[in-house]
Amino acid sequence: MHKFLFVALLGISFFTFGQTENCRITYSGQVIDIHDQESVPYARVQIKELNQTVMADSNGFFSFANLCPGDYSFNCFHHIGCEPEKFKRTISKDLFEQVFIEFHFDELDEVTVEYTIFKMSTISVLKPSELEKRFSAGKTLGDLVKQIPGVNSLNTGSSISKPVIHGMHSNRVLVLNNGVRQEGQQWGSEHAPEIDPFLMSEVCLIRGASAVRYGSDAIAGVILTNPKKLFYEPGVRGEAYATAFSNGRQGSISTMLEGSFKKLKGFSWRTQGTFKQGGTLQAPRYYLKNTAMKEYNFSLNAKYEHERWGAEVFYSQFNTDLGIFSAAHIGNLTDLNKAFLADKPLEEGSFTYQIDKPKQHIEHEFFKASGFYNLNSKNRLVFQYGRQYNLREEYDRHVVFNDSIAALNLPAFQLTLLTHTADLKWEHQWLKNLTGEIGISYLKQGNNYQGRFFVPNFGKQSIGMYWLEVLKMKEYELEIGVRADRSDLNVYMYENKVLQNYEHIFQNISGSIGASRKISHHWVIRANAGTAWRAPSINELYSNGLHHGAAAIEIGNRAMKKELAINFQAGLTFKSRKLNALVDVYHNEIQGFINLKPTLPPMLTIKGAFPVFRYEQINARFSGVDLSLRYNPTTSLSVFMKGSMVRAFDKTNQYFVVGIPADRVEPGVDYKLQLKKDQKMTFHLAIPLVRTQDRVEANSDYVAPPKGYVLVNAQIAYEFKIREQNVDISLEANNLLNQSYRDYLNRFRYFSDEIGRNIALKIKVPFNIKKHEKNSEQK
Amino acid sequence: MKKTVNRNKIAFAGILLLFVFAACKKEKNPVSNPPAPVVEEELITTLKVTFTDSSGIHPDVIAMFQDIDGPGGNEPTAMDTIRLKANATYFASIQVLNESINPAEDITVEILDEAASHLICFDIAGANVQVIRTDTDGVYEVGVISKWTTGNVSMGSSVISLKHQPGIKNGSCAVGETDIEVNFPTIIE
Repeated sequence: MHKFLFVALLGISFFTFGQTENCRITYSGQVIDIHDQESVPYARVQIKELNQTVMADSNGFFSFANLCPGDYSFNCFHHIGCEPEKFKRTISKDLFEQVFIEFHFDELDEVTVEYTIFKMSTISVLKPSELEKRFSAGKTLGDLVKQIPGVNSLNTGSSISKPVIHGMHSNRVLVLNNGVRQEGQQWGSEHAPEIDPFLMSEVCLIRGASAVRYGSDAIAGVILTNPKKLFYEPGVRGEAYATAFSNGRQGSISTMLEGSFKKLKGFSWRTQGTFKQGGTLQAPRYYLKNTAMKEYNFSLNAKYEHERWGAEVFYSQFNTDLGIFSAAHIGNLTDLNKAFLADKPLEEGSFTYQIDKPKQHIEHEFFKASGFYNLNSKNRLVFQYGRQYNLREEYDRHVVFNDSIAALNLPAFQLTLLTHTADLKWEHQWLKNLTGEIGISYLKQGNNYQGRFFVPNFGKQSIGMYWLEVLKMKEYELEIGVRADRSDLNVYMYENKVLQNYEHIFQNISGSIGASRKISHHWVIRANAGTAWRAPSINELYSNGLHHGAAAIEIGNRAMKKELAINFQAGLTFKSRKLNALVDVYHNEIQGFINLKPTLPPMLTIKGAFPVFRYEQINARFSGVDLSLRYNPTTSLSVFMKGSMVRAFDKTNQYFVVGIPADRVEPGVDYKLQLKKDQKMTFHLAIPLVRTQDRVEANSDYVAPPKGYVLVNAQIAYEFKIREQNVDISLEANNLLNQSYRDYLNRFRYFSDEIGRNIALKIKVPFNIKKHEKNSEQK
Repeated sequence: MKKTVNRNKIAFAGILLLFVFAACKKEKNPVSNPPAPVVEEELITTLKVTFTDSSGIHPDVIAMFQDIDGPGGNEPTAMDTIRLKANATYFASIQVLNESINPAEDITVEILDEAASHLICFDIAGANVQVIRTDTDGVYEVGVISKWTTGNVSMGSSVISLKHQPGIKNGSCAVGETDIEVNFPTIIE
């Protein structure tokens, strides 16, 4: 690359001599990928007649100076190995234009990084677009991945949100944070993944059971989140984000600083921190009492890379205090019924930043150390160690009667989960077309509780081994993976005042096979079949007691067996300059699907009657379709539609599975306006339409699922340059029409409407503190 | 130049050390040593209502609901029926206990300490009884002491509940969270 730059500079300098007066024209432009409308960095643009080449900068901008008037043929080499984009221009005066380039699938594979085998492989990897990511600043992980077709979010109020893939969530969705399995208190629907969204620059979803490399338990899929790659240009630079939301008067600030030393090549570092605070949220007709929140996170990262080896350390902390909507914290079934019948919550609040009980306090500490060693150009070893400490404190609303106990201000219960993970893998390339990896992973985990019993103390150890191979031919691709796991769970609890130890061992083998085929330049068809399994989680085995706030008694079953899934999926993708389309269908057969089922009679307690829910295993099937279309009639306008549909059926009892997302489609329009060379404006309008979930058995829920709804979300983004830096400002409005609605996947739908109109202003400012500009150009 | 390298190395080592310290901050008790089972000091296990005949003719009546291990777990150990004589007037006094510990804790004392945020409610159906709370927190009634005036022979139920109404007590049973709710079958004989 440096060579090309050198040639380019040389070319320019030669050209500048021997000038005539007329030859003062500048032709400049920006290289843009037609599919995602994002700039393409470091493309080479060549003028054939002059045999002159320049390289675009990191934002895709390039420029030819001192041209004479005339006809020129251009070649734009946007990626190594790709066909260049060819075009002709008659140049008579200074001109700036956008050059649109297009990838084809066969070209995409060429740019696939050698070792990230799965990234562009047969199983589909879905990501929110760059644009969607930009608008996501300040949103939770759940909200972020929701933009991918087939993904919904399960909410508890408006501050807790976790991803639902194809109707499944929590223990059936594996979240990989920075390469390490996220180990929080995954089992609760009100336990969101403890990840700072400002830290994640890359979010993608790997669907299906085929993700054997990450774990056997990803029955619904794997969500990968990674921070931005560290950069190695010497200097110090950073980015600052500020967001302000009208609803809840929430604000957040996140800053990142990263750098690399000129004298210590291959070393780079980053630090990042986020602070976020919000007050009482507002539904269109009332305040939602006690919905204030606070979040404070930071991370440190350092990496050293040498020719053959590299090492990285990463540390992050996530802390949050969340108020739980008080009208949803219910004493007993009578209170619950009263709350259901009320049109408005029985308690109304007013605006405050104060967080009262009931509330949660969560801390998540993450440490990772990893390294790789390249044995030779075809073999590499990668090692990774991770340590995660998760603290969850839940405070009940109830103030204890005894003043001296109340003064201690202890949580009703507290769980501390400490997890160590170690992974070792060998990435190899047997043949030119055949790459693979063999890995072993180990996990050791301990959970302690204090306060009210909900789940017992446990220790868990698990070990997994996998092997996968990918064969890539010109038009075909084939992948096979197999995995064996064993997990050993030791439970410690007092029963009738005697300490008991129970041991559970689960083991299984899972595997997957997938294939894809390219048809012409534009089509890819792919199919995948696989198995996955997971061991029952601690709450499914041992919970026994009142789940406060849910007003339910939940009873686990110690005889629970593992859950086994067989997974089929097939998809079709079409990509061209004008149209992008993606359709996926899937079918999952799950044996021993663990389900929380209401059972009669209600249990009589001193607090009144409570409905009883028991964990039981059923055979279930999940099937559905995901769809995504984007049509670009002109380069600045594009219309899109996303949609998903999932059907889940309990084959054991012959009825619908509860808690399945309703059908939804989301049409919308994007419009881009290039104001000047470095000023861009984007308009985005999306209208999510959600149907009523009518596939619910009569009387199987406290109240019938809420009605369908239509929302209007609009956004305007403005991008411009200050001192060579791209500054982003966006103004967005969610629920623009201030609609009152309830969503079936919100556990608080029984008590209140969703939040009303929320207008947000977001600013991103990058900055350079110390830049060694000359260096990079001289090379 | 050499100096810079050293400084960088020191910085690198510093960052590494920081990681090590940060990561070793918290180590916990072994999981094989869970907390002893008695944890909920504030567990309400027993609601006891003592009826005393105002004229001193009829014997005292005691009705109790008792669930020693709290909600869930074992079944309640006592679920009494209130049996009162017809056409009589009783004074009822309510006791709330935690009998999971020894000696039992009388939570009634703490309810009365915070009388301004508690209200005991009586919801009678079918049985021919009139209930009036006879105590007060200074502004509103509390209900720990009440007067029960029975009518003719009848059968039904009495729901006795304790509402926790911190800062929202307004004399009504509609607000607040339910701490206790027991449905006693009631016979007037």
